[in-house]
Amino acid sequence: MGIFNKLKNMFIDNTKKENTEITNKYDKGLEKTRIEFTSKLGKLSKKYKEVTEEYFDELEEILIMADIGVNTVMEFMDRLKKRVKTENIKDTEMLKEIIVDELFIIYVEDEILTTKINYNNNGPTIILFVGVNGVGKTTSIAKLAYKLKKEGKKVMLIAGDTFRAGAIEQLEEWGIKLECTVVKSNSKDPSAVIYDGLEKAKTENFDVVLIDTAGRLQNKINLMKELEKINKVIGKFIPNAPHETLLVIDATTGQNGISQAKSFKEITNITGIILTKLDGTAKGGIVLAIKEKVNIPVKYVGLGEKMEDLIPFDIEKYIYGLFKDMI
Amino acid sequence: MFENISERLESAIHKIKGYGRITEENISEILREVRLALLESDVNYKVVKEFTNNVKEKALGTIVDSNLKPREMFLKILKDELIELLGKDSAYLSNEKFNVAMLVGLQGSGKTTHIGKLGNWVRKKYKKKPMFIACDIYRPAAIEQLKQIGKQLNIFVYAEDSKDAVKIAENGIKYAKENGYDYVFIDTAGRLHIDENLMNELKSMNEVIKPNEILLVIDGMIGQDAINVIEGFNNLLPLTGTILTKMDGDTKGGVALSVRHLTNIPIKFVGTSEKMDGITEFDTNRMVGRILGEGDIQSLIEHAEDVMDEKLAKETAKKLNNGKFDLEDFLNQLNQIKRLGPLENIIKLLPGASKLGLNNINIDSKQLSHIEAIIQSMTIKERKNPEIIKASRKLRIAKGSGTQVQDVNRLLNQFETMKKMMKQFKNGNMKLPF
Repeated sequence: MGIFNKLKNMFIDNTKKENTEITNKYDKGLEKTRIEFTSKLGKLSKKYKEVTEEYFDELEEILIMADIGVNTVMEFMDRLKKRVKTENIKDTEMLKEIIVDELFIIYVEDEILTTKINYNNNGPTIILFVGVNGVGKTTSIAKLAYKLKKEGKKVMLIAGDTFRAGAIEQLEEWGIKLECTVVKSNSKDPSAVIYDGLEKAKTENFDVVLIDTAGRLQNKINLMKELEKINKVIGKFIPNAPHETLLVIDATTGQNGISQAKSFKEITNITGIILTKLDGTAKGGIVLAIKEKVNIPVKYVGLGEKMEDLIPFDIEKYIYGLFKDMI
Repeated sequence: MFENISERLESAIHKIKGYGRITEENISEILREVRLALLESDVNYKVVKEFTNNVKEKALGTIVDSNLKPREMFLKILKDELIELLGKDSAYLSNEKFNVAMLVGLQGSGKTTHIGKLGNWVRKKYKKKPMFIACDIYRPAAIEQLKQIGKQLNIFVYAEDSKDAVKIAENGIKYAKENGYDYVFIDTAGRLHIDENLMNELKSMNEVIKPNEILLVIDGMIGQDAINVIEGFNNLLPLTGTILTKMDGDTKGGVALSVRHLTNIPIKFVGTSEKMDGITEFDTNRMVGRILGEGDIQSLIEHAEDVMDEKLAKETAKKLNNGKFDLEDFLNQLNQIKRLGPLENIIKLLPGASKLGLNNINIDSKQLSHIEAIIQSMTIKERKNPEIIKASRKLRIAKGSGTQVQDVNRLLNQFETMKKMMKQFKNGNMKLPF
């Protein structure tokens, strides 16, 4: 039960102030999530001292209710049942640890995951934000810009959402608050304004360029083609750009999250996910399924409405946040 | 929406074909499929459990007295249960002498966009004079967004530079009454159902303005958390209905099956595109037909009636009969078709569309716009008399529309063929070319 010990140690050894701060934020943001999830798992162990069919049924319900993904849950349940059988586990207390372990494995597998931004050493770093409508792309851009500015970077925002009413104004207002340059245009063609922005970024030596795009449902062929074009324009102007393409996903999203990840990955080189609105009651479990099925890791999570509420994703802390009460 | 439920259910039901009767054994396999299909569609876990139990009980209980084949039998039970789940009667939007409707919901669910759609809708269907009140004083540029939508629809937007949303709503309603508006929509800020301060703002707004409608706007892609959201809002506010948005995506929209069952709040509207006419009234029977893959011709006809210009259609028909159909009329026709919205959406409503594989069809709307551009680059004279379009005119038209001369030629040829075919049709010796 290596992972579990690691989590325990982290809990004990966590003396660094910054680390604790982030952990606390996870704690706070995930409070509702954690209380529900862990108290449920705890209750389950109390209710069933022994591992029975009913125990598995209720466990399945808890996992499904966390939006973890029907296939992922079904496969997970099969693996768990197998382990219970071969290792002859009877005690539900013991199984609790295995559950955390197995969940961790789904996400991490054998990979080394990083949430660091892939910076361009040779000119501006281009970060493209994509996603369906209403997930929080523009707000996430503002939060990341705030973070980067605090690190002393020269940041530009490009208003590439030329479709939605008020989208450009929304980004402009953020630009004023954050004291960031915002590039916009009257053109309805997002590629045109992005081109203008990139040119300016090159000549005026910006460090990071954050590009907003219109929300698009992943089954709208024409809108996805438009995104493909945007991607091409960026790559033509700055080789190897965009250096990061972040897919923004709303934590309340259900099974459709997998389809979103698949479709956007086909068109662009998605390098990571920003999971937003995790401060509600939604568990955002679909990211576990996305990592397993589409292999896109989460880079940041949105844990509140304030500018500093965008936190690098840490699977250990995420699970720790979910299971703290158990340890 | 729902294609995948219908596919899964169809394949599950298909399995019954081989069986002589429904037994405990063979139904459990089918029910497992039904269960997975519903869970993958984000239907609430508890609802799924109850639903499959009900179907099972009924299927096992009634088979003895029935003359129906097991497959038909099962299908009927499934249909009845789905109707039960979605609520039998349709719920209508309030239509009093003076109406106030508040739209509430999580961030990003589509409140502001649907205010626009509803304003447009009541003006058209109820012949009302709508007005919007901008009460989202928190999100940057939210008021600007509503103003732009209002401008686009030519609907007045009441806004104040104040930090008191309740007061703005109150003043706005007063303004509406004084100025002859009779359907007021209030746009509120998106908020989490657990955010006490913001939820209290809605609560006091409700107490002060006493709206006819409080509509909860729910993202059709929402997962299992839907129940927390719906209950959170419903516990504090007397919700009168819900609007499911973004249902034109590939979400399976299982939330539709959970809402009524868990809360008894009716679904009143479904959002079906980003356009301002992308809204349809919710109808249980049609929805069930859609879930089971039976198509929805009724929606199709109503939608066509909504957007087609009857007078123009009659004129065109007359011209067709006289053989006087020209490129100008052709352009009008194209515009009518475009008003129907994305053709993919239309095709999905056809019965059996998913069986024929048409549910995932993609139509390049650019091709239509190319044709449009070419015709628009012609003078009126050219449109009325296409035969005068020769080399230099063709070159000019191609340049003007950003196409090639070949494209112009192709269009002219196609138009000629079409005209010839129509003539044959009129003479009664029409032979289908395939």
